Amino acid sequence: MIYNKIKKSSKHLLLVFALTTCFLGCDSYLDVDTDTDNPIAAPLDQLLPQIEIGVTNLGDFRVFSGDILAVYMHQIVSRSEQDQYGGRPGNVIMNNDWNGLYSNLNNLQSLISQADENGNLAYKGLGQTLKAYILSVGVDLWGDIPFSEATRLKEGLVSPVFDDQEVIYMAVLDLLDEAKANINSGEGNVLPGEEDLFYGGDLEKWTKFINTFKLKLLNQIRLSSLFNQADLDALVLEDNFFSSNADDFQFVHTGTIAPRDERNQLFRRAYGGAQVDTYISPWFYEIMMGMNPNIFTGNKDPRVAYYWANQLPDGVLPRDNGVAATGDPKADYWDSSTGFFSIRFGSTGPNRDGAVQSDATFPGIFPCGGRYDDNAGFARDINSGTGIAPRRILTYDEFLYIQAELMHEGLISGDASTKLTEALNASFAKVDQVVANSETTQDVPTLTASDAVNDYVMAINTEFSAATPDKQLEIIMTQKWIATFGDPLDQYNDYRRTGFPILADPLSGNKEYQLDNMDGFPLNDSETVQNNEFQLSLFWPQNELNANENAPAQKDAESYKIFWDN
Amino acid sequence: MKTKFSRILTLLLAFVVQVSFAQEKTISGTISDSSGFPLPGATIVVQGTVTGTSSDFDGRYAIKAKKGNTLIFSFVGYEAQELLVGNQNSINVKLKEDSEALEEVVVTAFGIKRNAKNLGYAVSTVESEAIVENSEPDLVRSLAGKVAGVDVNLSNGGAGGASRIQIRGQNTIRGSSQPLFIVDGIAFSNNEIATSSQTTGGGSYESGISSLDPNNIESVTVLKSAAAASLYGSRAANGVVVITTKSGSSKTGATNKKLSINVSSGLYFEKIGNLPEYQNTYGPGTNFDYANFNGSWGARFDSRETIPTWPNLLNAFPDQFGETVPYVAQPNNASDLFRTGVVRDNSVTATSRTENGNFSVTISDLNQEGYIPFNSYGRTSFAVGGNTTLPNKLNVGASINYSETDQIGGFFGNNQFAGSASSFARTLWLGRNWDLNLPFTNPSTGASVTPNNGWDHPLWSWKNDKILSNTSRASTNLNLSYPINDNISASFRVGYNKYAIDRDQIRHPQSRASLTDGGTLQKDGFINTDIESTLLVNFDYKLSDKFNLTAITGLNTLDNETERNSTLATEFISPGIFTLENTITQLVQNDNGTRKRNVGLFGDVTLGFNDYLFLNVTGRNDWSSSLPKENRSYFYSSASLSVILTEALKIESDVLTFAKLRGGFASVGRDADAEFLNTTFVLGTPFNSTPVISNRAGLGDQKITPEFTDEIEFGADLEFWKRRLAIDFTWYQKTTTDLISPVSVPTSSGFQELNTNIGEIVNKGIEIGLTVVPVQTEDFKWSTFTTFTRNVNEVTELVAGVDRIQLDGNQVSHAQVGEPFGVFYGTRFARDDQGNFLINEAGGGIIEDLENGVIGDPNPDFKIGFINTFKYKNFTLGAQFDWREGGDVQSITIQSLLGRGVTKDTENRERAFIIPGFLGDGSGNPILDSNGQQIPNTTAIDANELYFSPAGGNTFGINSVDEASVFDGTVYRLREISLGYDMPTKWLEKTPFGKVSISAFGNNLWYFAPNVPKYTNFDPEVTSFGSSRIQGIENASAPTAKRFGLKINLTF
Repeated sequence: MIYNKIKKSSKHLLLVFALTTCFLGCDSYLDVDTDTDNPIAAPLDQLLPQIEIGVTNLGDFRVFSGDILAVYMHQIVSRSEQDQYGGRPGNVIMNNDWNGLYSNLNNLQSLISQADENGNLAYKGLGQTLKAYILSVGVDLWGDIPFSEATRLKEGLVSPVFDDQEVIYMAVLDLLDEAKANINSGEGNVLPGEEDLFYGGDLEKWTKFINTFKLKLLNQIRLSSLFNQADLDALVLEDNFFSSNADDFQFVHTGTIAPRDERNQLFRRAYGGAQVDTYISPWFYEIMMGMNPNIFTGNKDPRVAYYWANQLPDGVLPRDNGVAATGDPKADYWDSSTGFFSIRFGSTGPNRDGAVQSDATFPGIFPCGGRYDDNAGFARDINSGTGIAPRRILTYDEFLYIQAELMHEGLISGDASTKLTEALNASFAKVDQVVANSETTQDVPTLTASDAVNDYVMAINTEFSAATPDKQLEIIMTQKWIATFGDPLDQYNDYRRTGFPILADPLSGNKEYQLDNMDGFPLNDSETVQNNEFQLSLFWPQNELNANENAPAQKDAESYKIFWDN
Repeated sequence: MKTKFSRILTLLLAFVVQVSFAQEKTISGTISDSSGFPLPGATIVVQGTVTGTSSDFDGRYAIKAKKGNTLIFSFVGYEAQELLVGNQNSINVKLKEDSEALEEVVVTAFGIKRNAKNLGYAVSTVESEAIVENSEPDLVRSLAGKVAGVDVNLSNGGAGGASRIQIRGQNTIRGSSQPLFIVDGIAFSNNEIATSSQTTGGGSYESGISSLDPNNIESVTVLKSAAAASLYGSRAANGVVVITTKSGSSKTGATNKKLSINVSSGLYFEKIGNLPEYQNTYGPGTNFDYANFNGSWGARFDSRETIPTWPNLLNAFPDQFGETVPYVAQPNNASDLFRTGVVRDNSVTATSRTENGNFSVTISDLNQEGYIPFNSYGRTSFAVGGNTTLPNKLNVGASINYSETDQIGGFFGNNQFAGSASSFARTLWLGRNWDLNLPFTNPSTGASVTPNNGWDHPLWSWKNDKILSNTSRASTNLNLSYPINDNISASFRVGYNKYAIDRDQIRHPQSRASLTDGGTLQKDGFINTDIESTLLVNFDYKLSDKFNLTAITGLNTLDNETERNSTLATEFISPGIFTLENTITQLVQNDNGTRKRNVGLFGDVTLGFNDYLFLNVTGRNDWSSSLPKENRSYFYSSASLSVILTEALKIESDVLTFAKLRGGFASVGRDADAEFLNTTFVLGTPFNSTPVISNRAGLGDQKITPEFTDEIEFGADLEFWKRRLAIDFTWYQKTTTDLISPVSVPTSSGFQELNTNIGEIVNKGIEIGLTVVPVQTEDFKWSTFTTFTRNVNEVTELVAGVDRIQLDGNQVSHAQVGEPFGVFYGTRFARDDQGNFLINEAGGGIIEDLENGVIGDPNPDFKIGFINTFKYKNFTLGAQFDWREGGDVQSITIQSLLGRGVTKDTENRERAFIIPGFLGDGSGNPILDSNGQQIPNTTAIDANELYFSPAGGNTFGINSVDEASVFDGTVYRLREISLGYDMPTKWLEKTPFGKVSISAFGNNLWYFAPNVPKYTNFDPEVTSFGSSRIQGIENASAPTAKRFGLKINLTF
């Protein structure tokens, strides 16, 4: 009886064992580790727009380095560490640019290799162009960066070495040539189309961009040993550059908020931010207002109302802090006559840190799709503008300033003065184009051919004609600096190359700012300080140095130069 | 007739035997406990001989002995009894429970019961009273300080928030080293699902274990060593907490055989643990001038009568304010924000225990209102279970548990990130004149109104920005066991455990976090399902008089499935309705799932020699779905040895009453998380309807191998004077190799993370449990139990090419070779060779070192729990003191309290300060004068700058290097104090009650942290990252709570 029981239960046990052993045997029981929720292939027409968004993010605002560079270039002022050129190695937004550059490079490698395998050379050329672009930006910001060993983790390369900056630049120039050949090869049956967020698949425009961009690079390296006049001559001879602002290399933002906030990043930063940190630089303000004694003196720029918007109506004391009884504005920088309200670079004044959300001046309709200043005052919120303004990367007017510079330096033929006038007019036309596409409900006048514009251009011409060669370069570069407001990457390059425009000097013994409200509360120039030197390149992101065992020791950003910087 | 004949025959035989062997006879009888319930497996030995036997299932025994012999009856957990053999042939014995014998029988892997004295490794058991009676709604919190080797970090005071428990240190890099929780034999997922980052404004999220009702817990056993845990396989590498619930218990027998009902009811009050001591001399502003700023560095309160009415308040409530308001301090503006919370905990358990089985039902309801307004936590649970032995000896048991929790809480984190809004943004460092009792909701917009901008009013925030989490857990369990013969038995258990979270994160349209999006609703759903089955065959053989062999073989299969669905909806349409339908856009954030399977085949053999020498050997082979096919099968084993010296050497001393030495080696293999090898692409959110795709941020290495943890441990258990003094001591060294983890790689590699085998971690430690009974009389007993936990962790190797791994992109926590896990690595002050500060001459602040460095270590040097129990007649007074030595904390709260100038620490400020040091340049090198000498700093700064960094320099509060906000976390704490009273039984004779007890409790009533700025009163136990691997980081968290109340317990 007992024996039977054992036998019976043994049978049961055997059955259970058999069943489970089958699971072991049937390997498929364990084959459940597949991700069935995500694709295993990346189509070219989905990779390309992702890459183009990434390209746009480089040097953009909000969470990218534009927030820092625009402060270094004295168009924006901040209370964060970038004030007084204080960007630190661990700065999060600098790190974002770096990460973005390399994740984008990784996507580019996927696109290029895939296009290469399938013989879709147009796609490959686009990939190479964008790769060249982001690598040049990387060198411009940091100097030596990982290149030859970058984005090769799949091969087991964890810590890429940092390559020499000049070597990378040479590769960039070669890449552009290859890209042009591939784009114009006519090979491959898959062509980019609507998903190309820059040019909608227009290969002729891509070719123009490659040439214009190459011209920009050659101009940038014109004082370095890498410069080759023959290359420049060949490029000019080909004469296939941007011919109007319809060719601009820019990223078009929309007013869509969700599922993705597609508005201009500077707009989101300025109008959506919980804390104000994008003050318009008083230095920039005074130059455009014609208040600067050194340049464009007395020549007020007609673009002012398009560049920033004052919340305060003329003559109204800052509301958050001003003391009506005494008339003390309790303001670090406030122009009673216009309502312009901001803080100074390097200020240690008592009113620098006040809460100013409802008083401060904000970037306007041109740089970010913010408000056009109709001089009525307003209360800033996210609905003060549409946020529809392109992120300009390389534009037709910028190209004309580059030509003017090259003419002025005698590297290409032509009259710099005429070219400057052409460039100025293109810049005004650009503002009009941005406004026209902004979907604003405000009534915004056209600049092109207006009297104010004509007067302004004529005055600049006069100033230019009377200037010394060095001053002429300053005028070209300063106008380019004004025109490219909202795109500080090239400004930072230009300043390091040419020393122009002249930037505010908080330590200057001279009167730095000219503003006088005649109210008994004058600006105190000794309230501005500068505790750091200008950074000749940016610190390598600390995260990279921490993780990469082949990374060099952190640089001294105040002395580490880019090779083209003389 | 036949029966009668048998009897006669027996009698005859007995007579013959008696005659043949002179005095030797067979004594038989029953061994039972004091209530008469039979004790199976009790030992009976004839003193001075090797003759011995043990009682059978019904407590019956038979042994041959001579008249005049002494029989020793013993059973684990009971006092041994000696009886002289006289003329009788039958001896029935009732053994008295040995009140001194703590932790004698323990439940080890797979519910195997073991005599603790035989084990070759350290195991700790916590009594259910210790868990239930301290008023903590969460089991993990209850374990703090109670078990040597177990480290509990409480995180924060948000009701229901997760706490971290870790056994013998961190031995993984990928995530938290939380132990495996096994409840009634089934894995009990303890995921902490964070919907948003706790850096930028997450909540005090609960973890899975919070769905377990402590009232239903019968026992908790902590398997600390790898040797003990290894049978559980891969999941057990971090140790195991084995929990038996009342409903899942298979314990038969009881003190009375009828149904007993236990009702317990507790009522506790909860207050904020502590607040800083504020200065009330200076109000907002700078340079001793009033301004409507965040920092209270402005005018003295006695220097002016009024200030302009705050524009925000004036705009929102034009009729309530004039042009000015009085300029006065608001000493209680922070404390007035909090309330006295209430915790109500009610539970009814009905239990029936008979010889054949048991049955138990528990219904509990917990309702906690936190000290933070609008913060609450509730749990309702229902558990039923039982088991019975059928006439054919098959034992069948089953249980069902269901529990539901509801948590409502606010947002915490760092307010300074774009799109974030922390309810503690300014809460503890309010401007000293801000009156937060003023109306705070704008009547026309519904927005928060605060004296200045940049933050939401805490009350507004708690009321309007909410995280509502609902979890439900259902677990069922079926088990069968069958004794095949006297030596072999088999059991089979299958369980199903499903845990689901449904969370709504609401940002009001007027929240500071929603300035650009019109309000958000984030719906987050997560479901974890475990199905586990275990087949065990047990063998038990007495090989000879001296050798005893027990063996187990088993087969375990586990199927785990997770599912995550989350949607971010933006822009509410109608006010006050927070549903997906009431939003303009919805973005799917997650819609994915994983599945993982594991099969394990294992064996466990114990060889006993003479009841004093025990050798245990285990082995297990796992097959896991998450490893590459060629590496998915892996084997590991353990061996441990214990010797009871007092038995082996026949030490019969009144001083050393018990001594055991133990030691062992064990290895546990571990697999990867599901989809760890993934290399798919990820779809992004379309731009302007154009779909986008990109490479993943992480790359899966296709060649990973299993991770192994090898542990050596040695220990001793010593008892003196019959446990008046008892010490158990364990030393261990644990090495985890081939750690499987995502590793942050340089982003220039193209990816942010590589999922691979990344390195090695070593943990070495000492655990001591010390029991001392200083006083013991008839009526009074004072006993103490001290736990000492020290673990030294070191990351000894990382994958080639990686110097260190940042654990969170925004935090200083790192894994770095040669340093303990989680070490703080970040920006620091520049110093010269002698360690003096290098000062920026222009600003007077300290220069930042261009190279980051190690600036702190969150791992404590040691932790001590000191538990005192005083018993006088029916009164019991208990107190637990905890001491944590070291363990750094990086605190935004301290940094802000100093930087905003609100505490008494910064009150003495009407003078200039010169930071001692020498001048340095921008690269962090000393500047030398013409004689090559360093130049002492002479630049004076004011108190404001001393705590709010001037440009170009760093000081000791806000906007400074990471190093400035790191503090030593040593803390002494009165964790628990309780006074209990058991009503004398004779008073209850005429009532239906069998037992009535009442107790009063206090929790976390006092703490002292000597090394944080004095008046911040900061509790270093407060951290922000719950149960995750990021420890010691505090991002404007809610302070801990203190709690006190009453609990009453009725049994009838």
